[in-house]
Amino acid sequence: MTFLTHEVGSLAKPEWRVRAGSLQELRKKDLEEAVVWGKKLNLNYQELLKLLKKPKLSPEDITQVKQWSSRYALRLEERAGLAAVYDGEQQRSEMYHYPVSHSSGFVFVGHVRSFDHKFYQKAAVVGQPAFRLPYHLEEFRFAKSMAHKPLKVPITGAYTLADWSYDEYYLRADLPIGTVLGQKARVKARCQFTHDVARELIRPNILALVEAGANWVQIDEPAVTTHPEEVPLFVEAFNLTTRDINCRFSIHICFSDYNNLFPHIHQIENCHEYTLEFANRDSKTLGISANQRPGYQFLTRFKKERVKARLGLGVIDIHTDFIEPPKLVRDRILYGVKILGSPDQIYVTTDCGLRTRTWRIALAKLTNLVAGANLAAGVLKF
Amino acid sequence: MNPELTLHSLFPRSERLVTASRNLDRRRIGKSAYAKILNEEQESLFTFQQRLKCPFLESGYLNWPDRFRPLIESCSGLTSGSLTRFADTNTFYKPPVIWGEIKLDPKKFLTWFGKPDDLPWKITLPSPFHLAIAAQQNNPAGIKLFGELLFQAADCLNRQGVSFVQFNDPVIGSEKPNRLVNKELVAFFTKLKKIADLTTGYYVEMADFNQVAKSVLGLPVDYFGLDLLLTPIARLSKDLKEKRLVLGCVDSRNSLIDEPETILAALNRIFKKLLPSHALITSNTALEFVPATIARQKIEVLALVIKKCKKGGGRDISDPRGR
Repeated sequence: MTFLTHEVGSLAKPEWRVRAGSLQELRKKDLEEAVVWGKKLNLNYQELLKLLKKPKLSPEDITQVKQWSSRYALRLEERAGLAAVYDGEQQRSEMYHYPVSHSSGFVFVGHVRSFDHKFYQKAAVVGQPAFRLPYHLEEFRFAKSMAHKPLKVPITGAYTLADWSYDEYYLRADLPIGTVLGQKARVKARCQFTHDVARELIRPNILALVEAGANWVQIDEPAVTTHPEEVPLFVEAFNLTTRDINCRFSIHICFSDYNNLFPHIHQIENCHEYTLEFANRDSKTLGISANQRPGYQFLTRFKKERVKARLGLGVIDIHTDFIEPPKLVRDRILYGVKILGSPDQIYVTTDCGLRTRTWRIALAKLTNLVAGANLAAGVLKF
Repeated sequence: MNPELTLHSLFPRSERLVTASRNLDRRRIGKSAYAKILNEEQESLFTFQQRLKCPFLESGYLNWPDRFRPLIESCSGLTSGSLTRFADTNTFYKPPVIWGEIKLDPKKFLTWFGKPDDLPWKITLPSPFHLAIAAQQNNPAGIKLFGELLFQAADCLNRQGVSFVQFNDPVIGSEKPNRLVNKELVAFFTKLKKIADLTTGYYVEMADFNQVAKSVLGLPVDYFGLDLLLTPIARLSKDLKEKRLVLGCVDSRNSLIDEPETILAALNRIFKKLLPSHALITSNTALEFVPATIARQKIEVLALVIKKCKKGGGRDISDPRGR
């Protein structure tokens, strides 16, 4: 037996997929990349090459290219030895843009800056959010047909989608400013918006996935702890989304003050695992003392609060090319077990998606994640 | 009641400049091509403010990576820390990290500013408290250190023609300064008075001004700034009476275009209650959180509010350029 290992979601998209997807000419090095990784991952890359070398790609060809990208990502994760896998979100554009552009009630209004020269397109809700088609269903069906391992499907959560959107529907322009009444009305509008996204958009998408055979869904909510006073709203949204659905649910939140989750997350109804980030804050020193593991001090609070759900312990930093040695991963896990008291409560994961790392780095990190988990299991005789 | 219009803090880039910024990063265009587009956008922003009869011209900080980077990169003794979320937004910044004696290179610092041909020129900078919190130096020594840096910054800007520096503070609402820290803030603003012909403002962003009034009202600044979307007017302290105010009236965090009558109603209430000696109306925080077209529409709404104020008549307010 060993620890259950999984990645969080995204992997980088290879250049051949990006360029083909945006109808740009493929370069020699893009095709070489497809060959190198095709060989490494034991895939029939000749079929892909034939497709990529077409002078002009039709929409159906582009879909096939994206599916090839999914195949590669699945095999990469399986090659690393992860217990649960997905396709690195290869068929999606981005965690906000993709669901919003596939739903009704939203309009993109322009770019805003994330940091430096990184911008993203932000949408406004202009009508009741509504389900059009299950936007991850085809991708899931494809992954299911290809995967050799169990699948965990990531999906952006209702709270984050609402928080990252402007509101031109629930808010009225004539709400008074400089009054408590106006502030309360804004809070009410926000709650209504979030509840509707949970009920009308995310829940039907999950139901479609479950009907198609999905038995593990990870709900990504990076926005949750940016507004500590709204954690109860996130809890409501999660419960509205998942209530009475027969499926394993994880919640992924990263780069946050997790203390803000308490006491409210005790009201969460149906969460199997909290996938949280720690490696980003940790030292690279080996050892299982508190001084050696500064990034994992939140575990004391997690233990104290007697959270029943499992903890997806982030042991891989997704922000750097540093390849965590298996022994470092081992010690991070052993420290987690030391604090939580049992290995049964721990799954072993990356801090977040690996889309900012090359595949070479991602594979090395994931391979060592698995190796480290096995080392820890060996020490614990787990 | 004749308020006037001002911008403050980071203004969003147009889609054209966004594309150019991305292309620069991806090496699809060179630095000079990017600079040309940036300069054109800078001029456009100055022209926009002139058309709307803003009494001060703000630079918009169109090429700033975040609120701190120009200061950090113009200083020895400071380096950038890891990417950090800005307040409760989806925008990130790199905080200052102190590694040595802090000294500003004024020449380098000034390259970050687009200068208007026309004056008066107003600049927004982070407050020393914001810098200190970001650098995890929330103590009197930290405030003093960043106060000295900001004094150098304000001084070199003033020599270039800046006559108004507004210090924005989005953290004072959550990180209440203690008595000793406040003492250093008072000392900082007192020292700024040594710079001749410099008007100063302290703008409380992202917080209810009433919660921090005690700390802020003791600061020797010329203007007090408050976010009306978060500040109930009914609770405003009488200590604000007859002061000069910067009033955040439009929502920088949402694309919905604000209703002029709603803003007018709020301004009427404030002016009746506080009888400010002058008022500048603006966005409640940096407009960088909305796309550029939306930002301009929101500022146009404020210009319309000012027109309505003038039609409605009321008290004349003294010229802000006299101290």
